[in-house]
Amino acid sequence: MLSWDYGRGYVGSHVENLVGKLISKGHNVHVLHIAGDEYTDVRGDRIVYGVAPHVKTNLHTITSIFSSLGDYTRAISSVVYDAGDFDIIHAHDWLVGLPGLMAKLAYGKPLVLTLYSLEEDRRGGINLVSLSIEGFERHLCDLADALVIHDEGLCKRIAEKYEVPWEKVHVLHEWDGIVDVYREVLER
Amino acid sequence: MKVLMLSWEYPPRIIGGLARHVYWLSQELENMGVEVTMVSLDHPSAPMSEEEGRKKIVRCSSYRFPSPDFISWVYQFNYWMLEKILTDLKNDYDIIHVHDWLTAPAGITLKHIFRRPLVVTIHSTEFGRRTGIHDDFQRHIHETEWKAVFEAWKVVVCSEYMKREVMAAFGVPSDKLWVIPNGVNPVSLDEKVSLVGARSRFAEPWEHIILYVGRMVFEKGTHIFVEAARQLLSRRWDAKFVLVGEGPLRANLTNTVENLGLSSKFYFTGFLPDEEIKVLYNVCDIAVFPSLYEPFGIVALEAMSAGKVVVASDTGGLSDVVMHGFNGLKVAPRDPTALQVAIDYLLNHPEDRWRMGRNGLNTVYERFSWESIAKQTTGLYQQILEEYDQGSWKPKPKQISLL
Repeated sequence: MLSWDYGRGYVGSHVENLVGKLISKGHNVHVLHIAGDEYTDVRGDRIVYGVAPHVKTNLHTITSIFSSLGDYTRAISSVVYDAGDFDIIHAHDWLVGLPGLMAKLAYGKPLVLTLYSLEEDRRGGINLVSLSIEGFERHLCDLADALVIHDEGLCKRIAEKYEVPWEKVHVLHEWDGIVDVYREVLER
Repeated sequence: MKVLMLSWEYPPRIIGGLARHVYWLSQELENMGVEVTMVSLDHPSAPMSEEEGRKKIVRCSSYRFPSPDFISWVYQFNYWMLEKILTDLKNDYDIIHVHDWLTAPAGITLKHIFRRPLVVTIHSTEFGRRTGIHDDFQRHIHETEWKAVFEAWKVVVCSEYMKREVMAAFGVPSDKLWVIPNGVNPVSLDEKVSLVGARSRFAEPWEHIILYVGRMVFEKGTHIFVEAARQLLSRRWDAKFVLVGEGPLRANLTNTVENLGLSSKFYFTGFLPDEEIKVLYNVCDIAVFPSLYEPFGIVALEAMSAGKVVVASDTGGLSDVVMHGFNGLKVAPRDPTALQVAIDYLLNHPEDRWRMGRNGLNTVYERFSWESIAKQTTGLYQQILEEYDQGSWKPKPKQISLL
């Protein structure tokens, strides 16, 4: 489970909720998220890894995302090495979609991507940073095996804007049916 | 032995000296039986994938989405390199070798995915190029260089000077650093070229040609060269100063020379193709390299390989290459008076010019041939692989789908 935040903020809370649900159904989940310091924490039934970017930047958002890619991939590599095999990569938002895509290509496992908003909703206007982020949002939508969205309106906009085939897109409320989505991409 | 080498430039994509370096290094490594896969960036006149003997060249898209600045563009092409490697290439490489911070993000990521040793060549540092770190942009590059050095199994630098610089800038222990000089291709001329005819294009028969080759930027000391020339021309008139190269200082220096009324004694050629530069090395009398910062100074070796005496700043890699009084003269950097005194001495002593020129030629063949550099690089790879084999940091069999 790849996320920028965990247990705090809008996305971080959603991810924590999802992890709880999966664990209650007997699934084994490893969570990686960005943290100030690197740590591994066994919190009862789940293992949470904090990934600390080595290069801290005051430049553009996209620069900090990219500069954390190597750190994130390093963390994924050691988690995979310790854990042995795994089945699914679930990345939350484009921020960690790129290391998710790296993991998909390296380990040959399906990537499920959840988008919580679109760059066009977040940006203050068209600029090079937002155009770049939009490019990567589209790229991730192209290469992810499934998209899980919470909101029907957002789902429709994503599918239309980035021309995502409808069979790849799933609208789930409170993560109900997420295991079915995992099963479907694994069977594919 | 299989090596995955990453460089942001590879011919025909030539930005600076790195393209030639990785081209000749990979060429000689291949001659020694090393299988090199070179991953670089696209160029309109080059295919996206080609093979030269056993060497495979894979080019990636350099621009797909807009980038707000240079650093984010660098990260983006690193990302496309990663995607290309993970999609199209197999992971059967023994070593991953990257050049400078520009391809370090991809190299570090591959190191961790494949669990293979990473070699990083630092050709120059941001700290050295900027004489310090002055803003966030430079700090980001500096820290990325630090990270590359931190993640590397071994770091290659081109001179003892650079070894000291990297140790000081990044706090690296000396046993992590290997000094392997850059190689040089001896300047050989097409036999049909008439040197007499060629010489007349640059100077009068009675004028000595004093040559400068390099980018016209502050760190190369081009302004020091022009000031030294001015001082020398106040005493003697039998010298012509030929400056080859482009750069932001060119317009300013051209104006200075015009204002001094010395235009007839200077020739700013602008950018010249390699063949023309070879001709100039052969027809010049003295080659001058007045750099303030010079990690290696390959142009000095090129001049030496044409049998020419050099006058160089006693700084950086030039200090390693030039042995004072043996194959050239060294002068204090930023000192135009010392520079013009050295040039004047050599103009007055043609026998010393000839002797040092011959010694310089031998230096190039003995220490800086690409064959010798590739042998040292292979030795480094072998040492790393021995250490790697003895360690426990390895991939689990069949864990990586590309294995």
